[in-house]
Amino acid sequence: MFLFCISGRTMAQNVLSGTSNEKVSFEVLASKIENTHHIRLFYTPEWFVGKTYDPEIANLPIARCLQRIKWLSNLNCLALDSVSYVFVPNDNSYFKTAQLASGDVNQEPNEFVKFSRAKVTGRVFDGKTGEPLPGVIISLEKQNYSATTNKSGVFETMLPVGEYAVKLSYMGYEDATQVINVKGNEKYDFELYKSYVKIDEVTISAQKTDVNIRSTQMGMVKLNSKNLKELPVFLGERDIIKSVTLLPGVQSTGEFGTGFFVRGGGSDQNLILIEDVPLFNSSHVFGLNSAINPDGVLGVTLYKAGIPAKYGERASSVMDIKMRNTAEELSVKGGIGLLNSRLNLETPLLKKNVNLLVGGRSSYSNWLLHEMPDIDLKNSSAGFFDLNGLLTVKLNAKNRLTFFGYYSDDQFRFNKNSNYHYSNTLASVRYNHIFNNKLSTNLLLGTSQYAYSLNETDSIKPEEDYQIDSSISYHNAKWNFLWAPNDFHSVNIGVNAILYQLQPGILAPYGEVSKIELKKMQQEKGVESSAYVSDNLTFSPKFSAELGLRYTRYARLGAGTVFLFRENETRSAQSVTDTLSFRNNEIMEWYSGLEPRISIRYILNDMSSLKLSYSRNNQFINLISNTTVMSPTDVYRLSNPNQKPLICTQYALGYFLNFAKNKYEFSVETYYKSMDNVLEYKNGAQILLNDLLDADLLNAKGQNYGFEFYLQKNSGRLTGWASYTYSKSLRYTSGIVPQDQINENRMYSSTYDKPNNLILLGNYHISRRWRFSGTFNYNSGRPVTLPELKYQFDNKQLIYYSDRNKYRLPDYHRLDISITFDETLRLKQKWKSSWTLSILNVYGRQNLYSAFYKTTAPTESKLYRQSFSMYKMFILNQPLPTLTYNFSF
Amino acid sequence: MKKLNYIGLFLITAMLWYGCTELYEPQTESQLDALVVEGLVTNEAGPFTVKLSRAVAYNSTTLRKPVAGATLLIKDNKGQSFSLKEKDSGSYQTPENFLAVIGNFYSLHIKTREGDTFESNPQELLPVQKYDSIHGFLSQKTSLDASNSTRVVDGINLLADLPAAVDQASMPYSRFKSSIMLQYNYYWPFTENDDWVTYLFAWNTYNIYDIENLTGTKYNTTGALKNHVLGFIPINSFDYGIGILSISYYYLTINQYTLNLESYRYYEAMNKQLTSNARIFDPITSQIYGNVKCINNPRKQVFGMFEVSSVHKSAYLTTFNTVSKFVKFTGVPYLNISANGKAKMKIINPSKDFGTKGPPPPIPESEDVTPSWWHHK
Repeated sequence: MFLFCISGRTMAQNVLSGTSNEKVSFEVLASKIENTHHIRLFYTPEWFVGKTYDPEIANLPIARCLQRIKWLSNLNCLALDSVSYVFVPNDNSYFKTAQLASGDVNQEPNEFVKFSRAKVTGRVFDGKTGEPLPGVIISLEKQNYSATTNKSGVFETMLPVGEYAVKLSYMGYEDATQVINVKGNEKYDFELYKSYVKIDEVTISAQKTDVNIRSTQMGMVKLNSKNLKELPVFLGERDIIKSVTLLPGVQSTGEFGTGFFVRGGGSDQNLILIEDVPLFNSSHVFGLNSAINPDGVLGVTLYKAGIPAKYGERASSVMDIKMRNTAEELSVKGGIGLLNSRLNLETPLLKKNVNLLVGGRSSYSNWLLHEMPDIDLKNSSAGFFDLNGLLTVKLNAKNRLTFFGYYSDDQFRFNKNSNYHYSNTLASVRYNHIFNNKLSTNLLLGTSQYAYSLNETDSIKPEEDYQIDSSISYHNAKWNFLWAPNDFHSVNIGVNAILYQLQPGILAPYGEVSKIELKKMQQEKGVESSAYVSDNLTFSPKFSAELGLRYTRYARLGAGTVFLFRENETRSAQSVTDTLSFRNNEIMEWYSGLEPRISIRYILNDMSSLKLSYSRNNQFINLISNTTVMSPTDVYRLSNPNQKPLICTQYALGYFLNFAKNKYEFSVETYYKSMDNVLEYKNGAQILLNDLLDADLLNAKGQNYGFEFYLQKNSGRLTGWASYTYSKSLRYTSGIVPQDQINENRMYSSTYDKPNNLILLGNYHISRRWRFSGTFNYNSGRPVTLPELKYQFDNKQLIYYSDRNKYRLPDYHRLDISITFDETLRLKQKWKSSWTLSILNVYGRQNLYSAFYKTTAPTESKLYRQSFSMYKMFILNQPLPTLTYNFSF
Repeated sequence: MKKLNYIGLFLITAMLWYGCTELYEPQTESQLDALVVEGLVTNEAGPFTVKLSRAVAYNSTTLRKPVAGATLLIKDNKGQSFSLKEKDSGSYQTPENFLAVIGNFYSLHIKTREGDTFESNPQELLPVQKYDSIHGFLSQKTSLDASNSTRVVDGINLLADLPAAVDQASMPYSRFKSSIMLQYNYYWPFTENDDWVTYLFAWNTYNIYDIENLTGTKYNTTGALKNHVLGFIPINSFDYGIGILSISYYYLTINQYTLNLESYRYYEAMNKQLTSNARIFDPITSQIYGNVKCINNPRKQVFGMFEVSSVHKSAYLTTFNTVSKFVKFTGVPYLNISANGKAKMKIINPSKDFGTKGPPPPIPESEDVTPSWWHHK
């Protein structure tokens, strides 16, 4: 009777070092399971003689509990009905005998004679967390077949009936091979376990698959630790944000500044999430390096288009950074650099039910600033540190709690009397619950605090010493359900709520003698709430789509005053007609919007696919900045009755092709992105402590479009990629009066408009010990506003500037190379070391970082009189070699 | 449990990091007929000059292109109108009978030879303000020299205390224009010559503040404005580039202009442009808008300012001692003398063949040829 279905449930598991729980016999375990899950188990006790089991197994979900026993005992388990399970030996001879013995009891035709070919469906889960694994490669040994799991961890194929050795491989996980016996349409569940090799030794396999063709997602780039590791180091450290700018569609500001621009959007349009909490200032020392300690990072995913509906808040992109939390044993990593040192510790605790990650960095050197060609920078000093921690507590197999904390702190003393200080504090707690194989949920409560202060002192005029403080307080709650009822649907449903509280500036006297009047800008408060649903639908093997809809409602709350301005006149103090006062938490203005997110994939053939996406995003928080790079003096601001939310709509189309057995990946993506209510500034806008800031801002519209070509080679001695992007980023105003117009309402290039971008990145393994890598980067010059006319006034030379962004800086290009020599290759040798020689800017290109008009230093030859001229500034104007010695033990 | 440590250690990095700035001369295109107006009318007796010129291309080596042959009128709010006369090319002077009265409004009207008409907004002449006192102390200032290394200059920090305003709103703005005139003398030739030695009395004038010196701090303060920085006076002659010479007198003049709001905003914008040391932060370029507009073609660019401000002028002799750290300012009459000049020579034993270009005019040995104002007594 029990032969009618031979369970295909098998598992691939690497038995990890056992826990130290008191082990019990199978009888004890079985009764525990029966009590816990209210089922009946049938077995022959002699099959379990001498075997002991961790009683914790009983607390696993029933399916996994039985799988584990199957694995540990090398038995199979058959379900008679929903409450009765039978253990049987896992060898075919048994079945054959049993079948013969049972005779023709079963009137139904036996499944495995019915089919000559069968549909095999499989799901691959993370054995530890139960989460489905997308992008796992499934290959059949001795067969020319391979497949990849989809987003829900499912794969499907037609196979002739028979026995197969299934090989599963997935980046960061132990490879596993499992024999399956296909006798009919069957479903298999597989589990994979994380590999606990040091990340340096992990080979990327996700990149080698055809996941880029198969997944519905487009406009997405992923960097794992291995990718990051192969990039040239900049001053001794890998930098996540700088690395991301080497991917198509992402641009940087140059050598300095960690802000990055995605497809023509400003840096505030990127949502940088660390463990689902946004980071407001992502740089240390104004962009010398980024505020994210690379050692603790598991992976980075950047969405440029077709952003999934579960993400909102910002208009252009989402950068999702996940921290590592899976250490199987204590591991310590560290580095001693020229500017800073870092240390990272990961360890399991309490019988591996708790995982802890703690990391930190601290700076100790100012040499770089003192090399800068500027008297004020020479007299400056900077210091920073950051700390991050992640604590995962496995309450039981179904429930998990994760605590995350991050703190970064920057002090910057500019020219001896200006002190900048800024800090980011992030914290979150997340609860994961698995209801069953099909439904899971997670609830996150998070907070992100950004505080910035500046004080300026003057020993001559202590009564004018002042301090300015500004801050952002952000709290969010996210509740997401993942429901995968069958192989054709994977549904995300959830709600988000955000409370923003911004203090744009408090001016206060600094020191006892200061007579500065206290000035407090009105606090800004806003609530953003949203609900979303998305479904990753598989219509047919060729056609799948991710359909999502997000509804966002935002309320700007009091207390505060709102200025009303006369129509058809430029906003100014003179055109204020009325001021409206609002009480605390009174609603000043509502904004709401529907954000459809659609991604469609159509597989053309085994090697290629077409993808299409449409997305719309609303953004209610904007960065007010008078600089092209992010600076700590920038102020965030919430949408208000005078400043409508930024709305960004993007259409994208992509063609994806893999060839030479997935050795090469090629893609072309094109996009058109329109923006409404982009912030622009009137000439000479005053940003800091301006009560009437609304009067200095303009609402512009944006049009961005481009093509991105990408070719990647995944295997062989030479790996790397080439990417070429042609893009435009344009803005225009539609002001009625001249003051509200930029360039008389004509279309003009935004600061992010760098049409041509070419990246060549290669790693070449010369021999087992020697590795060579190089990165070449070419960009069109950044648009700039340059002086066109000059005239004399009061014996001073004054200038008249051109239309905004009328000119361009010269093109940017740079070549970086590095060569690495591994001293030890033997696996068992504890002490491992390698030498890396890297050279940045090999051919000494003088790339203009910026062009500006300024006073010259009064020099002897100029009789100590100041003059004013146009200058260009280089950061790196000759080759910069660095030799690094790495060792581990 | 296996313990794994990973330490990346930097051993050597060649410290060849040279960020640097260089002069940049980008190719730009420009409309070349923008008019520049530079006019100042004060409460003092005239005449006052209004200069007209045209802006030049940024890359041009020409500094000023005067605009000659224009017709200029200054009108007040009492219905009076004064016509200006062109003295030099592009330089127009107010008539004898023009006297600006505190409280009146004045506007400038221009018609160029090409037929374009320009007009300034009416400007109010505000009452004179005077600072309470000045004081100074010995200090040092660092700057970069040509080879990009720091250099320390010794000098005097000059400060002024200003009276308390009745309230913030009514506090008028001031613009200080302070300069130091160095009076020095020297021998010529430098080697002693029994036959003849020449004494030269020379003076050079320097502004002691690089940009426009405006009151009204960055942020408001309550009470009197103490220690407003007027400028920095280097004390060593080589810091002025006049060689190793001893300075006889430091003659300091301070002009305090009381500005109306429009003039203040103009100078503020001008300072923003002059101090835009973009560096790593690269701010939005600041455009300066004046108070003159083209009437017949509003799209036409006009630069500069017609300023109407009252002025208070004062002068001091500055003495100091670097050992006892003592600085003193002695009030002396305000002189209207040319900014730079060389005074008469005193010749002892005039020789027959003085110099190579023939003898200088003979001056009796006994006559004191020092300029009459030299000692400021």
